[in-house]
Amino acid sequence: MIIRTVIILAYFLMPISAAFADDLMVADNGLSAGYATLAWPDAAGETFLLEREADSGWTAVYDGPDHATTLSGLHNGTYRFRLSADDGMPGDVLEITVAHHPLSRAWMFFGIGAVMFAGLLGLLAAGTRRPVPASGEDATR
Amino acid sequence: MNEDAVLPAGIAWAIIGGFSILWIWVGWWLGRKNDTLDDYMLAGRKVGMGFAVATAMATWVTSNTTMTAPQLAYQLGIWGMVGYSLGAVGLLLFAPLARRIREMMPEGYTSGDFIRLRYGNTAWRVFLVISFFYSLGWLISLGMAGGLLINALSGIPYAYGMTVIVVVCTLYTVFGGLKAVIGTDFVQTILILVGVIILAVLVINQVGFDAIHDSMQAKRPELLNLLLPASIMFLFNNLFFGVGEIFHSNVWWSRAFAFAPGVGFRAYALAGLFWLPIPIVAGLIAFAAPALGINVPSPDMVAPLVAGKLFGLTGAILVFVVVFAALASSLDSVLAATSDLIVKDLYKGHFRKDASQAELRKAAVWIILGLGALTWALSVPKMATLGSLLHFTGAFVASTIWPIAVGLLYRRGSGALATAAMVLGTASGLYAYFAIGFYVAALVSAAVSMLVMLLAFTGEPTFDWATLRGARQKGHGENS
Repeated sequence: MIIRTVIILAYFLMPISAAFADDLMVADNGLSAGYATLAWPDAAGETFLLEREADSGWTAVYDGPDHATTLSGLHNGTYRFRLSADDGMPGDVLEITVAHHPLSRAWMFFGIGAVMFAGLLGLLAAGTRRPVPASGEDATR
Repeated sequence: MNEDAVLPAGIAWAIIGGFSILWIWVGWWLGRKNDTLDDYMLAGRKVGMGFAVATAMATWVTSNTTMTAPQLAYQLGIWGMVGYSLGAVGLLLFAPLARRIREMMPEGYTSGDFIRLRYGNTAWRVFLVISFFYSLGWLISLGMAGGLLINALSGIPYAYGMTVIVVVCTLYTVFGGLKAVIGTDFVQTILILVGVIILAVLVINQVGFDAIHDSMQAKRPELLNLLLPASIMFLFNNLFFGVGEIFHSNVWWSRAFAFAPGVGFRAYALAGLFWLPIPIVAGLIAFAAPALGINVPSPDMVAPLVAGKLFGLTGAILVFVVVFAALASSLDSVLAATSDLIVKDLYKGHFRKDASQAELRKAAVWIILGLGALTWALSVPKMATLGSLLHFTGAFVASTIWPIAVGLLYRRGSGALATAAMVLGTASGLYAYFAIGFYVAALVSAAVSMLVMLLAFTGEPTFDWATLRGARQKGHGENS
C-alpha cells in the first residue's frame, strides 16, 4: 500500500517538462500564468550564458554558474532562448509561448470563490449562533 | 552546490547544532512528566491562552509561509502575495468551530473520531486517506524546505540539511509528545515574529519601494498587474485551501482538544490576526530580487537568496534562524498530529481495538519514528517545487470543508453524502490542477463538494448529537 502510494505520488508530482532544446528545458511550466523556470541540468561547463531574442538581437538573461533561472511577469507572446557554455557556440533555440488565461475565465473563478465564501460565512454564522446541544438533546436543526 | 551561498558552512552547522540541542532538550524536559496517553497526545487537555495562541500561530507559520509565499509573489505578483495571506481566514473561521469541538467532544482525540461518529465508517476511511495524503505532502514540503533553505544560504548539500531537520524534529517529538511541540512552538513564535519584523525593516531601508517598483516595471511587468488572470483565480483558491487544511487536519483538532475549556475561540482568532501580515512581509522580500539582479534557479529559493545577498552574513543568519524555527514548529506539529491519527484511527480503530493505554503510548513513539523515516525517504528525490507540491494537496483537503462544517453545525447530511462530497470534490480538484493550473485546484474541489453537500438540506435532520459524546474514554484513556 505504501509503495503504491509512493509511486502514485511520484507520478503526479513529476515536474512538467514542456520543451527541450539540447540541454535547455522548461523545468517548471507556468506559461498560462506568465512564468517558467528554464533549466539546463545536464549541460557541461563552468559558466553559462542564457540569451533571449529581442528586436535588437540576442540579449543576456543570465550569465553565471547556475543551471537554471526563473522567469516571471511575462506578457503574452512567443519568446526564444538559447544557451551557451564557457563562451562556446550557442545550442538550439528553445521557443516558449506565454498565453495568459482569458480574464473572463479568471473572473468566473473569482465569482465562484466569492459566492462560496459568502455561503460559508452564512453557514458558520447561522450554525454557531445557537448553543451547543447538551448530551442527548434532540436539537431540531 | 549553490554558488550564491553567503553563510559559511561552519556557521550554518553551528546554528543547526545549537538549536537542535535546544529543541531536543526542551522536548525531553517538557515530556518527562508525561504519565498518561492524554498527557502525551493532548498535553493533559489544559493548555492555557499564551501557549495556545503561540502554538496555533507558529504551526501556521510554516516553511510554506516563509518560502512559498515569496515563491508565489515571484510567480503571481501582488495578488500572489496578498492571496497567500488569506490563509489566515482558515484560522479565523476555525475559531468558533474549535470552541464547539471542545464542548461537543470533551474527550475526543482526533478529527477522525468526529468523522467516524458523525458520518460512519465509509466516510471515515475516505477522510483518513485524504488526511494522510495531505499530512504526507505537508511533511515532505517541510523536509524539502529545510534542505533547500540550508543549501541556498550555506551551500550545504540539500540531502544533508533535509536529513538533519527531519531527524531533530522527529527526536524531540518522540521525547515530549504534544507538550514538547507546544513548548517549542512558544519559543519559535518569538523567534519568527522578531526575525520577520527586523527583515521587513531592513528590506524597506536598504532597497526601498521605488527601486523595487521601477525594477519590476522594467523586468517583470505582469507581476504588478492587478488584473493578472492567474493571480485573480488564485485569490479564493488559496483562501479555500487554507480553510480546508485547517478544518480537516488533526493538527488543529488535536489543539482544539488540548486547549483548556474556553481558550480555543480566542486562541485561534488571535493567531489568525497575528499571522495575517507575515506572508505579506515574506512576499515583499521576493520583489526585491529583480532590483538586486539575483538569479533565482528555483522559485522556492527566492527568499533566502535575496536575504543572503541583501544583508550578507547577518541577514543570512537571521533568515536561517527564522525559517529553521518555522520549519521545526510545523514539522513537529504535523508529526505529532498525524501520529495521533494513525494511533487512534488506524492502529486502534482498525487493528488493535482492545489495545491498552501503555500499548498505544508505545505505538505512538514507533509511529512518529516511522513517519519521520517516511518523510525523509520521500523528501530525498525533491519531486516538485514547494508551491506545486503544496497546492496539489489542496485538491484533497478542500473537499472536506463542507462535510465538516455541515456535520459540526447541523443534524442534516448522511455519511453517503459526505463520502460523495469528498470523493467528487477531490476528483474534480485534481482534474482542475492538471487541466487549468495549481491555482484553481482547491477552489474547484470545494465548489463541487459544496454542491453535493447542499443536498443535505433537502433531507430531514436525523443525526443525534449525543452520538458525538461517544468519543469518551474508558478507564485508561482509550476511546469507547
